[in-house]
Amino acid sequence: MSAGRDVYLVAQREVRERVRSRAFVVSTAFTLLLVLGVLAVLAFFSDRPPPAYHVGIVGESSPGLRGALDLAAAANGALVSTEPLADRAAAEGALRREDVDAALFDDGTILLARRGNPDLESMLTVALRQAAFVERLAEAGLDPEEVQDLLLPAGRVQVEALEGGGDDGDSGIAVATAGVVVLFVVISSYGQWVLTGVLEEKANRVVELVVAAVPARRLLAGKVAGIGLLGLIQLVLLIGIGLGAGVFLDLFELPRTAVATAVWTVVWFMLGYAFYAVIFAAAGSLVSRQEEAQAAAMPIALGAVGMYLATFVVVLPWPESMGARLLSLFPAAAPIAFPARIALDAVAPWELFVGVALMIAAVYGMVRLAARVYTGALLSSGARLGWRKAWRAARHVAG
Amino acid sequence: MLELDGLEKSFGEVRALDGASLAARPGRVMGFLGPNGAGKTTAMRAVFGLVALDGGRVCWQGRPLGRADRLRFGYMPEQRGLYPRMRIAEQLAWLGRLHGLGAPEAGRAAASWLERLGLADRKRDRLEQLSHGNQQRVQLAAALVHGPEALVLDEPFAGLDPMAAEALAGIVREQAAAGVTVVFSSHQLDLVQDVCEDVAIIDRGRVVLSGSLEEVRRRAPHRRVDLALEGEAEWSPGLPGVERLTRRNGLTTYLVPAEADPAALLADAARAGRVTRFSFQPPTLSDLFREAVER
Repeated sequence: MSAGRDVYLVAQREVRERVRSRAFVVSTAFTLLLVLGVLAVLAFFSDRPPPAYHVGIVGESSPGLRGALDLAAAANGALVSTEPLADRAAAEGALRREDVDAALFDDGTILLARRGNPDLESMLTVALRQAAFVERLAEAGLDPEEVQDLLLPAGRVQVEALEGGGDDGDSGIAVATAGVVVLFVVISSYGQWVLTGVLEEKANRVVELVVAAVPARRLLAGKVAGIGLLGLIQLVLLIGIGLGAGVFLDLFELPRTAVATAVWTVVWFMLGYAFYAVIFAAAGSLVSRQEEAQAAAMPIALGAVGMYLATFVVVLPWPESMGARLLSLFPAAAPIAFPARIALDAVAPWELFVGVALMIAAVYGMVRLAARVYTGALLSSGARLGWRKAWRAARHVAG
Repeated sequence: MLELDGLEKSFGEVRALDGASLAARPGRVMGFLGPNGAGKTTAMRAVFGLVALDGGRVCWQGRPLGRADRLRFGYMPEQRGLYPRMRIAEQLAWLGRLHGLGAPEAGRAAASWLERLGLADRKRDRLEQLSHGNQQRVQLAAALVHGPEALVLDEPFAGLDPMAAEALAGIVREQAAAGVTVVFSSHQLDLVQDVCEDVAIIDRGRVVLSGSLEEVRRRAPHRRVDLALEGEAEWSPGLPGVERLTRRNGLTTYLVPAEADPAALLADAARAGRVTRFSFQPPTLSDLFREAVER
């Protein structure tokens, strides 16, 4: 029977059995809720939309007040609207009903429901002073409208910065950080699924029946592919919902690099998952009892955590440093470090090319190595096998 | 015909197979016997390509056995096991598909075996929800679901109660009657004697005795004489090459050379006392086994 059909049948069983399991449904729902929750919290604490104030003006206001208010509001990044109020009683009523945020009197009084918003107070103070200034200039014989024009911003002001990075630097960092976390979580959790899947087959002793019909390498390939497909679906859901919700909640504009980052994240997920999943599979094949799963996964999980921390410490703060470059070319770290650098727009095209090529080579090598260990260890039972012992035992297994 | 031809395999210092050869014929049931560690499981695993042989080969219909042939074999490994959380009908159908059946065909085959084994109403249950005995039945169905041309069963009777063993024996005989080549290993020699037509006895990696059960019993250099004398009188046959095996409940068992004359033996015994029981038969499988693997 063809390798493709074998791999397909094994993968299909993995997908079907896992999608039906409560663990998968719960973990997917939980992860999505977690992402949405984090985004909602971020949205709550992030920059609010510009504050908008509604200001009541009591009595006959000076002619320049309206213009002065607009200027002061623009300087403070706020929006101000006004309405006329008849007298102090009307102003107090409007304040109590919260129809207005403040009331201005022509004697220069600012009336508030309560103090506690220094931004508003200083903005109104500036506006009142400016209005008074315009009034005095008018009294001195200048046409109030000319004065008003003179006060309008003249010329075009341009802001330049010494550090580059463009205007979506902040969004880039957010996307990079989110990418690092998500990739690490998805790669290591799905890798561990592979490990427990392999171990289950061994512990339940079904594996001998299966490898009598399907060569061990195909069983490995199908298992890794099936679980990886689930991981991919979960990742795409996460990215899609994460980006969608982020834009919807006004957390970020999609940065220039968002689409590329998303695509590269998926590519690196596949490479990184393949790399780690086969190691997890080989580790799972070395033990025979469920209780040993944690011990078997530990060294690999620790390695992945190390790469994750290194990415946080080296790549995120200094994406273009030599350390970051080297780290992102190192196969065990590349799947986490590279997408972060892409999100930060800190990758030269040749680097990407070399990185992907190196990673593909590493995945190929790891698949060969892990498949041999897996084959050698699969039919052993009893005590935990060493990697070297399993490697040698593969000699005794045909196929 | 399934032939093992001079199989050799060492695991380090241990010589698991040392030129083991046998031939199992279609339509017949072969019992594959041997003490623990004699190489039974290694030989059976070699049939399924699970062991890389150092020498020899496995042939099917006269040609070296290939992967495509193996898919038409049914296997029950010594280490039983299926997916505990998978529904049994789906599990059997999946195994059928792994062996090359199309999806609808596999579904039908799974349903019909579950029906046959009395598990039709449990088909949506997970394996772990079944009793031990029912799990054993599913395990048997797993070896049969794809309608194999040859069945290789490693200790299929181990752990079965007498009813289940009888049911299994029935299915095994029926498969052979339908033309399937059946090989099974066992420790339970009396059971083997009831179920199989051919035997092969393996010891220290070599097949030391094989052939049809009738033939190997007839060919044996000994006959078994059971004798009881009234009053438990003593008698020993005046022949060279006689071995007294056991004396139990007044019945004494001797092995005598095959060419001995039963009538003369009986007459000789009658001189020692009144004979209450006398039999002269080819050796049992147990006798042959003991002799073949004697150390």
